[in-house]
Amino acid sequence: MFLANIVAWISFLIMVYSLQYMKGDFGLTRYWFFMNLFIGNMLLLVLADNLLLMFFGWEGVGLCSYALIGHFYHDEPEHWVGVPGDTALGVPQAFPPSHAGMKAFVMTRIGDIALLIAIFLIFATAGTFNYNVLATKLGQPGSWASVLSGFGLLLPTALLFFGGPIGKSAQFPLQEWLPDAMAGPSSVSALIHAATMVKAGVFLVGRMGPIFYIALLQFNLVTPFFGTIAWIGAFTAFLAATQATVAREIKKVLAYSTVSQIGYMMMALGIAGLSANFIAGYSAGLLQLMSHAIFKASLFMAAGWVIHVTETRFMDQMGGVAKAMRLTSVSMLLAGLSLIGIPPFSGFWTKDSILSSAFQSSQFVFYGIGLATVLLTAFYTTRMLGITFAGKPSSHVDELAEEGKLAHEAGLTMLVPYLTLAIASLALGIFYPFYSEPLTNYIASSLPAALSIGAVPGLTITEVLLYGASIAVAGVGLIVGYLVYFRRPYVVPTKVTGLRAFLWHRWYLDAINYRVFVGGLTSASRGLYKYVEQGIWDRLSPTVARDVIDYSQASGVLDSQVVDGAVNDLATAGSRLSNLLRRLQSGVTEQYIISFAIGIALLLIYMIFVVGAR
Amino acid sequence: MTFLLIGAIVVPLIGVPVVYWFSLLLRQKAGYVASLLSLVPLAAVLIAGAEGASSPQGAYSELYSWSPIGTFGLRVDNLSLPILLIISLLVALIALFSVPYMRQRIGDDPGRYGLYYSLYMLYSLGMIGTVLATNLIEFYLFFEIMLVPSFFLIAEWGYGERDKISLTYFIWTHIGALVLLVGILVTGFLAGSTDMDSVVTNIAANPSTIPSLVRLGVVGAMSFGLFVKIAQFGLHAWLPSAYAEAPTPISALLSAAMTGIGGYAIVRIVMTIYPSGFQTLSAIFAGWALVTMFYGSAMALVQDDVKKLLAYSSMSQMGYILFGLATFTSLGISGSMFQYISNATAKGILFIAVGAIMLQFRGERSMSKMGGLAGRMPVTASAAFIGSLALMGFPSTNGFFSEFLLFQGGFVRATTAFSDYRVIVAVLGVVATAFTAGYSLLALKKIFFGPSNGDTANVKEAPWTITVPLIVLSILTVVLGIYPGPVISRFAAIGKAIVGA
Repeated sequence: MFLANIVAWISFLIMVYSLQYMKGDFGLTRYWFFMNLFIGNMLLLVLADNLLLMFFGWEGVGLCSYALIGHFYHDEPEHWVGVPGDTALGVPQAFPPSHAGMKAFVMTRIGDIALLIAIFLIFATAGTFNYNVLATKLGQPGSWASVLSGFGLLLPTALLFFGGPIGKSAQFPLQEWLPDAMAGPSSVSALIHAATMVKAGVFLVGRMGPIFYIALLQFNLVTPFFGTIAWIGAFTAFLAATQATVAREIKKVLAYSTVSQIGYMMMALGIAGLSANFIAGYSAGLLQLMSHAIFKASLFMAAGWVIHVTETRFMDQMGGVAKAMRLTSVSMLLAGLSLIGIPPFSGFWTKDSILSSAFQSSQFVFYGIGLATVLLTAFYTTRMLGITFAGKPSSHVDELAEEGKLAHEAGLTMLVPYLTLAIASLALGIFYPFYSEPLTNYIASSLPAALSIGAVPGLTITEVLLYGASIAVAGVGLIVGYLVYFRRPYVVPTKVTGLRAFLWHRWYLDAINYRVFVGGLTSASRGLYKYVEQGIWDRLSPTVARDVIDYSQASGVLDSQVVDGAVNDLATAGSRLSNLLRRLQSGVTEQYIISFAIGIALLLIYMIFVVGAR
Repeated sequence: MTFLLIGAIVVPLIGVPVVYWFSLLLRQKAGYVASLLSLVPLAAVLIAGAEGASSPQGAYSELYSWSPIGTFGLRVDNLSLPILLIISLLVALIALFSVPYMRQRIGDDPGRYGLYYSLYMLYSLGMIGTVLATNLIEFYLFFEIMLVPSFFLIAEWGYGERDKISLTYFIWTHIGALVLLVGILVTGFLAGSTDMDSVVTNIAANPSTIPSLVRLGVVGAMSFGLFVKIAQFGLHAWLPSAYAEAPTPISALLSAAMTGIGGYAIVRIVMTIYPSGFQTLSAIFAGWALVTMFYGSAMALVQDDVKKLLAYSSMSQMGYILFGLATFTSLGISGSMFQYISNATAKGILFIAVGAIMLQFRGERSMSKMGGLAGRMPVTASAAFIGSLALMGFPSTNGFFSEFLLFQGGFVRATTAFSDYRVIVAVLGVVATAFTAGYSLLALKKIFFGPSNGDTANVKEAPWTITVPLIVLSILTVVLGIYPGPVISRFAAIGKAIVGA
């Protein structure tokens, strides 16, 4: 499908960018190995025609993500993510790369397990992994869906399947790994944690969503499943957007924003199932995926350059670098406007088609949440641009300048990729009215026939009003952000309290994860180890051993006094042999072993040559 | 009649005095001789496999008369071929690994090297013989030959309280073996033979010879005996300390090659002779396996001693093997046997890697004192990484296919039996893999990544005798992970024959 094209082209540009970005860092062979392995796996994931092969790619990209997040595995402080010393509920909120990588792997793995269970259930009942066969088998009597439904497992299977995308696309409640994944190099964040891998979840819902839709429709279970997707998406979009409004690290802003934008896509796919017009929400979600991949990759690469030049990941230690790097700041501005959703950027069209599909299918709650998120998005994007580029350089940048490290523009191999993507985002927006319909039809053609009914709503008066509303909301966010962060220098709040602390600590969700799940599991295991393993089994074994030793000593006495007398004569012959052996070595066990081996040898020789082979 | 497979038994046996003599001359370098000698069984098994390829079961047998017990048979078939290959490969590689490791452990005494390698050869003989055996008594004989040398190896060169630990190991597994022997003798008495083939045909011809209650009892006894070997929960007390405190090459052999033989024996003996009896008990076994999986990995999660972590991880992996067998489906059985192979490669890699670290890092076993070793020992780190991935069941390692098949078997069993209990067990089984990912990644992070927590300045990569086995096993892990066909198709044929589908 068309995601393969997005993956391949963006990968190419990011690889070009990496050429220079990673220059001089250690472990380059490893970096290139995993980057290429990642692209291969990602294409495998997207191009696979069955669930098993897809799962190969799915896990493969997870592995590469783990390895690349933890690229700087020596955990030097400049590669950490989070403010050192910061804690929430007693849990440290700053993570070294090796920890962040592990966290990403384990959290996505939890989702993968749900996905795997669903795949097992589907295969156990359908006997195939192939998407098309799964879809056609639905029409037959006694289909896999009806077998699963007979167990009451159809809806659980669908929901478990959705667990994989939740983990991989960092949706609530498994969203906490993505912000910390920013410990990886910026090129990795751009490729894996913005443009491609995190979209795999959306892709998979797009792949299997229609199949589940048909299956669930037969049993009137569509609303709970797609409702869950839409709610999770909408909630995540809002949650992450609020967190982005207080972040200090530029890449973290972008990471929260990624989580939030993927939430949009999920919401769109959920709405597709809830509305009569499946294709509207469906294509809106996938088009948003495309435009987001482009502008977010651009933002990350540009941010990577800013971080490189200013030698800090904190926005408040940047400031006023626009003059020194005009093209970078222009690129960031273009991509940022696309993120906010200002016409005519591509982000505007795709975001608004999601909002309008929500509105037109009468899902006003989702529309409301979507609109609120638009406001927040405009605000945090402007805030990020303001703090980073506008105003006076921070004291940190001044210090660097005094050391002779002046802020400067990126080299061409780095500049061209992100500038290209930023301009592409604008161009795709300008031409959107021309290609949107063919592209939607193309996407629709991949759907099972039962679902490709309906068309993209044309430009009605409602549509225009909806556009107006979202532009107005985005405008408000933008203006507030501009007034607060462009006009005044940004000061890091010394004390974080109230709502700000709540948002800053990610609604305490991360801390709760550590406290409840990691802490709970570890203490449960420790308890089990202490009381069951050491308390019962370990105590049992030495007791047995000791008793046996006591017993053998007792029987040894018996042996030497009673039995030995009787067998002494026999033993004399044996001891001659032993004496011979004793010359070779000392110690009792040696004799035992050698005689044991000789015994077996004699036995075998007897068997083979005396009794004879038959 | 060709004398081919008997060579796989006789050569290690002749090897016992031969390596002793070589040790007196060459000291630790006798390990090379042991390694070379171990290639003979590998070659013999390969040739036998090729010979048997034309027959439907892929079987090649050599039968020697063994009065009054019956026949002393050696057989390579679809089930035993891959397992024999991996065992003999491991034996050869770990003999190489022993060279530098035991050099550190023993020092200069040539006699001690002689004893070590003699025992080593005998131990390998026991494992190969157990897998080749076609007669129940013969099986028992080799099963015990396997136990005795390993006991002495732990008692002589182990760590910690090695006397007690080796004795505990010996007593537990010996008692298990004796209970197995009871089952064997009852079977032999009632079926009128101890040759597995004739037992199967006799029982099939006349099912009433064994009353169903006795049958369950026999299955129970045999399974109990073998469960001690595969350390299911409650029967595992010997395992953690034995694996942790054995000299590392022996830990590697114990964990990678020997323990799983219990699982092999369940398929070869219990499930082949009493399929219906095993099926009756399989629901209980599935739950038991599940407890073992969770318990083992929970224990692994809290260990700081890396060898203990691997020991508990082995216990958990043995739970997977029983889990697959207890599904009583062709998928599950082939998954379990493939799990033997993937556990053998993964645990082989991990124990050798740990041995390499202990060797280069002053015998350190505490993970909290390691850290940042990836830069110092890149080959070891990469191999350990691949091994951990296989342990987690990561796609493109062999661990993925084994776990995938055995869990798929669980779900097939659940949906065909319409049993809620089976569904829950299958789902929880998959959930258990999260623990595996947790402890393996945590261990990798603590050992290889992050800042160094100890004095690692002088730590460097291990010698070739360690890196070569690591590389060979890593390649095998990945190759089997991408192209598992030849092995899985063999196991699947066996699984189908047992389940009768």
